[in-house]
Formats: sequence, structure tokens, C-alpha cells
Amino acid sequence: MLRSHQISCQRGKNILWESLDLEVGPGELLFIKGANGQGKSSLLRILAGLATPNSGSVTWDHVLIQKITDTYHPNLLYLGHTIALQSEMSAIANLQFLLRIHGHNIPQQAIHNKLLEWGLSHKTIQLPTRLLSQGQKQRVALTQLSLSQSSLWILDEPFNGLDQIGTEHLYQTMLHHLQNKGFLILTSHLHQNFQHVLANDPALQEKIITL
Amino acid sequence: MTGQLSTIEVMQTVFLRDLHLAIKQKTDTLGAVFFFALVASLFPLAIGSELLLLKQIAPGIIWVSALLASMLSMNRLYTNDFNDGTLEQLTLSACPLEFIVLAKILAHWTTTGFVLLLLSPILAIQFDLSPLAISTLMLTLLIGTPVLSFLGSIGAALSLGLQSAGALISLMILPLLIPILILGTLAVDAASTNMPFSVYLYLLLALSVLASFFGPLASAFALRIAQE
Repeated sequence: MLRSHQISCQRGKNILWESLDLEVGPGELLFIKGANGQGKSSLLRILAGLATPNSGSVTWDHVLIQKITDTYHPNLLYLGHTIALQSEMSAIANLQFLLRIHGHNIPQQAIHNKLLEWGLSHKTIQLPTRLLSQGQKQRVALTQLSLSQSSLWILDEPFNGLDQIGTEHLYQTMLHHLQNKGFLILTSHLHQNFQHVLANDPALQEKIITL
Repeated sequence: MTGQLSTIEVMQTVFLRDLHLAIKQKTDTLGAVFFFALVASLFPLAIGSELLLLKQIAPGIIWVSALLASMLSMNRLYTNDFNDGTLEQLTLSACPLEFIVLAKILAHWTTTGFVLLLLSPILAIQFDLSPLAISTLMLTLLIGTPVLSFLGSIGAALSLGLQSAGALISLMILPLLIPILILGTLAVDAASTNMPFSVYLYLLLALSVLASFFGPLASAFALRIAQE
């Protein structure tokens, strides 16, 4: 269970949001809405533990996340708004690296197969990622979702650059994760809600926070 | 299908990736090495062929060149990872950031300090150093250049995200490297005049051990702040 207690965020003298309490449990999707510059990404970074809130605290299973990074980090998959791919390395090498630093030792063949499932061709995944289009890069990054065993996903605008097929695949991946008692926090400026993703499954729940 | 990787395995992954990238991005890596060779070779050309004088100033010139060359390459240590978001992922790794930073510094040293070390005997010949002096020079570089990487890493981490960070790193870190410079050159001077020089090596080793402990700690701390 991920919880925040009365957290607030300040940029300079400007208070972006304050006294925010939120809670995400297994099978729950937390959708963070808000116009540009309202501090959506800042909230995600705080929940991931990359930034500290100006006040308040974030806990994972009732313990401060800063105190249990050794158990929190392996449970967490954070995809920020810059797609973390090294431009000289191939998609497959990038993913292998990213998964390894998060402690997952996944054979190259499995990574290869999942990349194909995400609609990338044999050729594409061998190229340096600087040659890939924005949408292709996004797909490469999202392939981590299908490979990692983390239970908490924090995704910053995961639909950016995706076409219809990619979007559908991401919906399915999200649903599968939630049905496996996963936690999901995301932002998106393309959606009003994600009810259509939950597929009327009574065990799953969507929460919406507007900043 | 999967098993959790240990800290050592994660460090190894980071080390090998940085090594691989350094080989791929040749201009950065070779730039520092050629800079080292060029600067050290310019002095004999400018000063002339007075062997005695060259012999006297050789350790200082080689050490100063090594110092400048490693500062020149320090910039690339975290900047690329910071810009493309890899640093965030490294921070969120299952392995503590301090160990990841240690792996990155070691990879940086392997592609700069270690290469300078291999190149130094060829440069030393230009200055007519004796075999004993050359081996001492290599020994001081072996012990001393890691300090350049460890302290340089702190500077690189502190100046992350700033413009013209390169000059800033040198301004911050070069003054801190003066003891290394003095000990390194004193040892070679002593060796070339057949005086005992082990005391300088021990002092250098002590500084190296200190830097290897505090370098990763301070760098990781600075990197976390840079990402706030």
C-alpha cells in the first residue's frame, strides 16, 4: 500500500499543491489529472522518492519510503517524462541494462520476444535508439512493463507518441497488471478516465485526483 | 525466468556499460588521451633540448598534464545519463547509488587514468628519465590517478545541470588535487636522484584510500540533490 500524508509541493515561492492525502492499494489505478504546470510530474517524482515533498511524507506499507529504499526500489517501476534510453545503444541493450540495474536478470531472448510483442521489428531493435521515432522509443520504454516484476508502476504520460495499436497494447498491459494485484499511478492529458481499461472487473478500482 | 541480482552484479553491469560506451564514443575518450600526450610533448618543444632542465621538470609536466586531461574528461561522467533520464533509473536501482557511482568512477578511471598510465613511459622517454624514475612515475600515476577520478566525480556531480560545468569542475577540484600533484612529483624527483621515495608513495596511497571512500559517498549525495 502506497500512502501520502499531507504532502505539499512548492516551486520557488509558488505553492503548486498542498495537504495532499492519497492512497493506492492492490488492483487500484490512480489517475492524476491537471493542466500543464500544475505539478503532476513533481507529484510522481515525490511518490517515486526522487524528490522530497516540502512537507508531509510518503509511506510504503506504513514505512517511510526513504527508509526502505532496498525494498521499495525493487517494487517500483518509474517511467519519467524523459524516456531513459541511451541513444548509442540498441533497444535490446538498453532494456537489458535497465532491467539489470533494477535487479532483474532476464535473458536476451525474452526481452527480444516482448519487444516484438510491442510491435517493434527485428531490425528496429538492433539499431541505436537515436534512429528510432518518438513512438518507437516510447514502445521500447514501455516494454519494461511487460518484463519487470515490480508491483508499483508510476508512469508519466505513457501514452505520449503512441499510435492506436500501441495504445491498445498499453491498455491490455495495464489491465493485466491490475488483475495481478498491481498498483498503478499515471498521468495522461489524452484521457478523461480509464473506466474502459478496467473492463467492468469489480475487483479493480479507479481513483482520480485533479491537481 | 529471473533472479534478483546482487549489488556486485549490478555494479558490474554499470561498469561494463560505461566501458562499452566509452569505447563507442571514441572522441571523448581519445580526446583526453591525446590532450595528455600533446600537452606533455609541447614542453620539450618550447623549452628546447637542454636535457638536465627537461629531466628536472619532467615529473611535474607529466603530472600536470595528467591532472588537466582527467579534468577535461570529467564532464562526461554524469551529464549524458542526467540528460537522458538514465540517472533517475540508476537512483531508483535496487543497488545503493553509492555503489553505482563507485562502478561509474572505476569505469571512468579505466578509460582515462589507466590509459594515461600506460602512455606515460613513452612520454617520459622524451624527457630522458631513468628507468627507475619511469617506473616510479608509473607507480605514482597508478596510485594517484584514481584520486583524480574520485574527486573529479564529486565536482561533476555538484555541477550537474549547470551550463559550462567543465570549467567549474576544474576550478572546484584542481585546488584540492594539489597535494596529489606535490606527492607525485616529489616521489619521481626523489627516484631520479636515487633518494628514498617510499614515504611519498605511502602518503599518496593514504590519500587514495580516503578519496575512494568519500568520493562515492559525496558524489551520490550530490547526485540526489541535483535531481530534486
